[in-house]
Amino acid sequence: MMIEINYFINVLIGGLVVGFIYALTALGITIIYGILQIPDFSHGNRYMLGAYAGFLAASIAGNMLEISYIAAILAAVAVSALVGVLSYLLVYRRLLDAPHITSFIAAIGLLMLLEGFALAVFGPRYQHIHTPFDYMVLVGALRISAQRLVILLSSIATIAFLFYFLKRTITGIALEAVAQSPIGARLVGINTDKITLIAFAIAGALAGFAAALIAPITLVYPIMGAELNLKAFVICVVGGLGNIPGAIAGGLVLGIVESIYGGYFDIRWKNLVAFGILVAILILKPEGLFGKKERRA
Amino acid sequence: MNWKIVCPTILVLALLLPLTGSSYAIRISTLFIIYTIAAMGLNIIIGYTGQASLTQGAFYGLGAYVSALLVLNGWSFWSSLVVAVAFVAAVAFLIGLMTLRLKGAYFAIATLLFNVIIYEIVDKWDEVTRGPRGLFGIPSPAIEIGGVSISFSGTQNFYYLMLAVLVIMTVLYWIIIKSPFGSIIVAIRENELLAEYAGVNLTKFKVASFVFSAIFASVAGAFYSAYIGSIFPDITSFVNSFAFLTAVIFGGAGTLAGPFVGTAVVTLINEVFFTLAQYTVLIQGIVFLLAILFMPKGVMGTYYSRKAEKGGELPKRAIMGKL
Amino acid sequence: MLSVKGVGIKFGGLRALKGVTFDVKEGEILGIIGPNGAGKTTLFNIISGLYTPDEGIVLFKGKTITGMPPHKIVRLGINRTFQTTSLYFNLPVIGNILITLTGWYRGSIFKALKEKNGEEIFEEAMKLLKFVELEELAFTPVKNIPQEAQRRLSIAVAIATKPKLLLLDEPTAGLTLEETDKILEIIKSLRNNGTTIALIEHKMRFIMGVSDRIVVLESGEVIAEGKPEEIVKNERVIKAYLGESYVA
Repeated sequence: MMIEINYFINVLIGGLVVGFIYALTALGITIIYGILQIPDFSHGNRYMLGAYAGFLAASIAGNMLEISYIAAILAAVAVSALVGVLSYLLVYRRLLDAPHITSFIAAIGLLMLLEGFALAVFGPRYQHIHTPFDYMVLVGALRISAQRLVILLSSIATIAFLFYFLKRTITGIALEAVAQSPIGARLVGINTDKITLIAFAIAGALAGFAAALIAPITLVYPIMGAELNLKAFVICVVGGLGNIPGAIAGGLVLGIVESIYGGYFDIRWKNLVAFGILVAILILKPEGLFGKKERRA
Repeated sequence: MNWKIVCPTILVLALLLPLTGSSYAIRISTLFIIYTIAAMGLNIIIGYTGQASLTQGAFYGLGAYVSALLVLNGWSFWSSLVVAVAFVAAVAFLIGLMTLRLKGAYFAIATLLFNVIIYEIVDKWDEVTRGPRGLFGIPSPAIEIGGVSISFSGTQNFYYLMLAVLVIMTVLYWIIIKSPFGSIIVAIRENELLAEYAGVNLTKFKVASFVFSAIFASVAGAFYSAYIGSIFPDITSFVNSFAFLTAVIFGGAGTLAGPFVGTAVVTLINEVFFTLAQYTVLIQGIVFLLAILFMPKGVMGTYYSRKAEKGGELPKRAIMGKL
Repeated sequence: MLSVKGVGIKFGGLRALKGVTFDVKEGEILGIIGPNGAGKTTLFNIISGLYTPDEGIVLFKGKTITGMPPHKIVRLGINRTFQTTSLYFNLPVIGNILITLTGWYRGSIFKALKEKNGEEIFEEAMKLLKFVELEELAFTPVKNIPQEAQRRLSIAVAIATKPKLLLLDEPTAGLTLEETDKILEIIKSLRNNGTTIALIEHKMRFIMGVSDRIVVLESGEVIAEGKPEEIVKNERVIKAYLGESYVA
């Protein structure tokens, strides 16, 4: 009985860990959608490039695991944020006046470009980022990997910080204002261009951080972004595109459901079940599980 | 450009192509035809109806799988083709009914999800599909006329077969766009609300054009499996949806000639950079992005815009928003 | 012809309409007035099928139409224009009519694929353009014609489906006096051709001149109904609509 409960708790923690990674990535998508109404399909590849940046930084930083891992995290955050900023400056900003579908298609082009870049430079091989937290911690009767604890704690801290930023700082409040009404925000004198740039930087940074956190567990490879991206997307839709708490809740729910399913049922149909549930929610409640129903005007 | 001269000329040149004796040219042209058929279908739903569908790759792969499985079970290619097309059309009908109420990005995401779901089924249901091991030894189609059997196994024969199929599919495509149906889906693309207040049942017309686009994809897929002789679950992947999308956008979404031009360019790029396999995705991405940034209307769309600016005469159908 | 009975609707807890009841009689021009936010456009959206009301029903020629989608209601003989002019802006003027007529005549997929658009559709489109005096601009892109001409075109698009009841949502907003007169003429000749009209307006002189009867909405409720000369004397209306100062 004890073992069964421990197994369940471990499954649950595994789900939370993945769920937080989903949430951090989904947050970026939802923030960008809130501001530009673009479903940015290339977001997952910022996460992937962040992971590669982390890998490179760690190999340059040398053999001291503590230093190299910190270098990896910093590099991942910086590069992902930079890629986000560049995506806006070079692509989306030029398409602000074009029909919506153009930006949306550009996102697919960007997705191919970023993934192609990683393939061309790093090849399809799997790479490692080593972490100093590769030991187990005893919590009560549970043995939990330290890296997982680090992921849980730092994700929670990051999300708390994000909320503080959005609710308590002037830039954060301006960002929410732009998301609610871009025209209104411009009328009250908010520089929407600058705010959009900041949004892309934050979205990128969150993805880079998530990548550096999970990379020691999942390894680094070119299509890691595409795999995560699809799930992160659907999480946003399920949580309501543009809805920040929805993205977090959606990420955690998907992580836990997947983990429990994988821990107890035939893993073969895991993706099918996950995507099937998500598409059902999308069709039945397009406004998201947490969104309010809007009438068409 | 006068299409009444250009089209027959291209057709004659296409008929003469095998005289060059280059099996490479024939192979590339055959693949070009197959991809063009799928791209034409995608242009109906994206270019003319204005709904960003990302399921085309799955319909293409599903057409390939259903027909290949039937052929491998002893069916003739032609009856397999009919069943495959009917099956994919039915699947598209159901997916369309479920997703076409969704707007813009939501529709795109839902169709992308269905693509993933179809891929997962083909990949994991190995009792039926043989999963990642794929299907091998798919025989070529053949026909019997008056007791004489003609096989399309040779590169050249298959090429002529595909030319005939292309002509048939192009005529269908032309009828769909040229007819009042084409005008009505353009009305939906241009102003959905106003189209509904013209008495148009939006769902019916959207679902119909979604099903048409899937039919084109499944025809292309079925012939692909017969041509190559082996297929793997990858063929249903959304990577193919993106590839067809690239062709349509590049050629000019919502223009009749767009899918032909776009597929030609994309096929050429892939062949030119074939030796740099590692860079293919990167190059595709760069070309795609440059195209959308500097030529968002695609080759044919830009051609018509320039023409209109210079005061040139647009085709008669332009009055109803069709190019 | 049209009966609105006890119609109410809420948006996120806010009551936009409550117990709205009135009739539109065959052949008349009914004016609907009320301050901003009184629920006039919401009412049109309900009649034309865009919204389903939370309570009450709408009858057209004795048949319940609440809950029907717009395309069905259009086929029963109701059409409308929109407050912010809604047109196929990328098409030429005549293309707007042609595409509407195509939708109207070939509403079934089978017909749409099988039949062809003949000359008669083109002629009908020209006739409609002549009616709103736009035949000279027929081949100009809609983007390039003045706002006032766009208003007239949107009326032509709406009457292309031969409605028996036409709902006009502020057809003269933002127009000059002269331009308003042009619209007025169109509305009058439409009525003379047998079309019943319900119209939302803000211009008092315009609506008092053209309407046979007037319904006044305030905060989602009907506060008065009657002939224009009765309405101008109604104290509740004067208070609600024109402000306290008018009463004195």
